[in-house]
Amino acid sequence: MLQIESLSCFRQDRYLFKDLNATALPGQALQIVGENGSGKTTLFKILAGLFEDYDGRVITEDKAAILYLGHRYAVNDQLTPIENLKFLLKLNEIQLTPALLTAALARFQLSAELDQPCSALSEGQKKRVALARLILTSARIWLLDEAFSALDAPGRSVLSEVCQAHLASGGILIFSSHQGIPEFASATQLRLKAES
Amino acid sequence: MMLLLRELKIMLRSPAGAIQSLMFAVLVITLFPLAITPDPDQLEPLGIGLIWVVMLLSCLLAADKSLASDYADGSLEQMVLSHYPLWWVCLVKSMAHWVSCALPLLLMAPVLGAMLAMTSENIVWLMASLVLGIPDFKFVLYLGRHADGWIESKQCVAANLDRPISGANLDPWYPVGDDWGRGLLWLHVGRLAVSIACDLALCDGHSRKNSG
Repeated sequence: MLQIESLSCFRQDRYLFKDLNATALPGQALQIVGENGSGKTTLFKILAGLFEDYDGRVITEDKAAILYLGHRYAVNDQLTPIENLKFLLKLNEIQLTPALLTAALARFQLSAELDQPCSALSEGQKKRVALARLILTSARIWLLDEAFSALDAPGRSVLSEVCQAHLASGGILIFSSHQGIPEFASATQLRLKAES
Repeated sequence: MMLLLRELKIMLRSPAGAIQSLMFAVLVITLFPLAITPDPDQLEPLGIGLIWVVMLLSCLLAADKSLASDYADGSLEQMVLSHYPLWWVCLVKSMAHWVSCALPLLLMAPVLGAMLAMTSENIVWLMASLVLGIPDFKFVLYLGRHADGWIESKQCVAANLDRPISGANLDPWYPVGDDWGRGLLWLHVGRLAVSIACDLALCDGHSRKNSG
């Protein structure tokens, strides 16, 4: 479970958001909705534990159960997709065989680029490298900040399937997207509105 | 070990930073005999101090690169969120930086010393002082504050300028430097103090991050 209680964030002489309340239970999706600059990324960073300057409370059973994917994909240009994926998983003490890593990347249509440095990949392909973590992680709470952007239709489709499988297994999904995602049309929405 | 191997792999595949540091040190030291005087009697007393300052500036040139790229691509955020403590991440990064940038500089030190007409005995003391002193730079350069934290390495330089002074004290021509053992001891003390200060700052930042 992830619970947000009276969450407010004051930055640069104004409230980005004020008195937010929401609860996400296992198997539930929560969509963060708001215009550009309304504080969605800041909210994600607060939930992930990357930003501390806020009022209110974020309650989770286990902070280690959170996986955060932000606008920046954490994919190093000098490393290959496999090396990047392996490193990101090892950061969370997940050690997997090369076959599993390859399979996860193949699911995101990255079979032909496994030995290339990521500098040779497009933005969408780099994002797929980062998203392949979702298939292999054991985290129960996923924070996906604009994860559906910069992906083509097949990529969005795979991501949507992976997220649905996560929800079906009792995971929690918190995401933001400026595009309509039909599969998550029924998700609970948390709307951010800037306060003066 | 995994983090260290990653850092070394990245630095090996993009060696521009290390090469730039090395070239900078060689060029600057080469310029001194040309710009001031080739007279060994005048160059020799300046040797250790000059090489220390050049080492500091060379380390600075490459220090930001690994942190800046990790910050820009989001890897630093993921490291902060990992189970590894921040002080450990910084320690490993500083070790990788030491291997890729400081070690070549250290190996080049005898050549730089010879360019400044240093005696072989003083070159040995110079290298001993650099082995002890350069990690100070690394620790301070990697001092970060918290999760979203940009590592303000360049602001730490001022706090670190006493190291070249301690290092220069090994030079037997300085009045207080006739006891090289005392100079090395001060370097040890400096390194310990800097390390502890960095650890405390990083642990404080990490605990505040987790307290939300």
